[in-house]
Amino acid sequence: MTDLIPPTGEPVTVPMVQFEGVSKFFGELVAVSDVTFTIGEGVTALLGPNGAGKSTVLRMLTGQAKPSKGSVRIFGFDPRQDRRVPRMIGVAPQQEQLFETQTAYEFVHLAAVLQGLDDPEAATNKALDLVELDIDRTRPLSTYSKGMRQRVKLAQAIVHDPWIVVLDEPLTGLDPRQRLSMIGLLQRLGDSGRCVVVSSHILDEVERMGSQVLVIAKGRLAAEGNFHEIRELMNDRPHEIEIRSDKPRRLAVGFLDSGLVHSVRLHDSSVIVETNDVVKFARTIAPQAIAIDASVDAVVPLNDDLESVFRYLVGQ
Amino acid sequence: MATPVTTESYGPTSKAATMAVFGLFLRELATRARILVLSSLGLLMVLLGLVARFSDDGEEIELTMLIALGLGIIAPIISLVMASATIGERRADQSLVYLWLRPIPFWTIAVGAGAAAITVAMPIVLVSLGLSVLVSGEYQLFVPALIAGFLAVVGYTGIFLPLGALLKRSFLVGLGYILIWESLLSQLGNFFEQLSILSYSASIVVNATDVVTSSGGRSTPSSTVIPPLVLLGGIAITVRFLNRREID
Repeated sequence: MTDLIPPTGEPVTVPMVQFEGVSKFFGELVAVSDVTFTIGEGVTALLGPNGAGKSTVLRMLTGQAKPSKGSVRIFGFDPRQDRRVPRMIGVAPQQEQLFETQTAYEFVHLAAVLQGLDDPEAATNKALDLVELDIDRTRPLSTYSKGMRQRVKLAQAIVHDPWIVVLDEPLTGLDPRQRLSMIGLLQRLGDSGRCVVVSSHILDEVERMGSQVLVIAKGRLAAEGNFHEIRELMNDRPHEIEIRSDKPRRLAVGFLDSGLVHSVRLHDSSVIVETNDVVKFARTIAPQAIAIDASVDAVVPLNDDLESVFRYLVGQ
Repeated sequence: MATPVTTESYGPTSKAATMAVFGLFLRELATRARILVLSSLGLLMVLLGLVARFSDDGEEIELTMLIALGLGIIAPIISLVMASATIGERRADQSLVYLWLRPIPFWTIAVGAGAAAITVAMPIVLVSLGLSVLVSGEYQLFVPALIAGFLAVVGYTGIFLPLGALLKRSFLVGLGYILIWESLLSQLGNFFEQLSILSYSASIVVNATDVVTSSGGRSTPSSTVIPPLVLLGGIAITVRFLNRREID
């Protein structure tokens, strides 16, 4: 939520992004079904498998698509009706195609001009610097690699310093160093009070962004909130923990006797247990090991990563 | 946190937006390959002017070629290629979103696109028609041919600009329109003729001569007014498309 201050009148508080009972039909196909959520400052990741409805949600958010039911509001405005909304949003769509005869500078500069910025040249240079794109001013976009295009797309999305940045699969095509850099940039945008909405299927990177998540599955909102909080809420799903030890078999017997684990799987130098109560179980590991004079080399949670959470939620 | 959101208007001036969109489309349209291919089409018109020069009834032959080939085929095809490509190609490759998602009125996109299509098509059409007349030696047709060519490009752009925005296979549909509606059906009677850009552009040339032809039965004032009105109508339809349709 954030303060909306019209030129006249009292400040009011409205969410940056608000979906209220939103559905989208394509003929008989239900692409999005009765989705309600709000998004505020910081990085929010929109997660879901292909065909889950992520892109449709993003297109409704930007005003490109009209909800069949419900309402979408950006700072309280309807993005389909109010032409001021594009001033508040920066969008980097998934498709690669740009204006191919232009150079990167010209492409971003055009965005700056069409946003009505006072100094489009300065804004263009700043945006290109932010995405670390060292451009050749004579090179047309048609010769750019996928990774370079991603950064050009991001530059045109942030050139007007929007309050809401919408990025569809922004990490695709970037090398590892560029990905880290991009994630850092998105985090900085989020930390500066911007609302950054990122659609992605590269789950470990979304996890690294430390973001809020909206999980979309089969057109429905499967879960929302902080990734780790969502994981903690899944009490009906056992946590898997691997304990590496020189005496895994004897440790396994002890764990089973404790009554805190559902199952154990033995490997050469480790035992993998499933438990619902991680905290209590963790407290038993050391006493068990001491009791049988076993060494514990590592304790590794196996399914607390985003991929596991995502699979679980989609399965639900 | 205070937000930048106010009820004040945002975005560039309409003139700045239109000029920026115009510049973009102009550059996207005026590719070397496109200009060369379409110019070679215009060259055909010039070569046929030579045929008229060495004929006994040069004025009638040149007039017939101006109408049937110049205004009936070359002008509409060049206009089709340019006008349908502006918003149509951007819609097809999904880059239209980079214009649509800006705080600018949609009419600036439609006007910029139409102006760019006309700017690129017009010189090719006018040079081919003008040179054809000069080569034929029928100099009295020079100015009417240029005016007719101008009006033809304006009118056809008004048809093909929204066609490109609305239809995926706009080039094929446009080609069908040129060959079936403009070239065949418009010859069948007054009703079809009234709905044909060719009849208005041809009338400008025919009314400037004493030659009796089956084409061009419209008055000069209506022939001058209708094509620009068609362009305005085409821009209005394009704006409606941008306003109503969903953008990929």
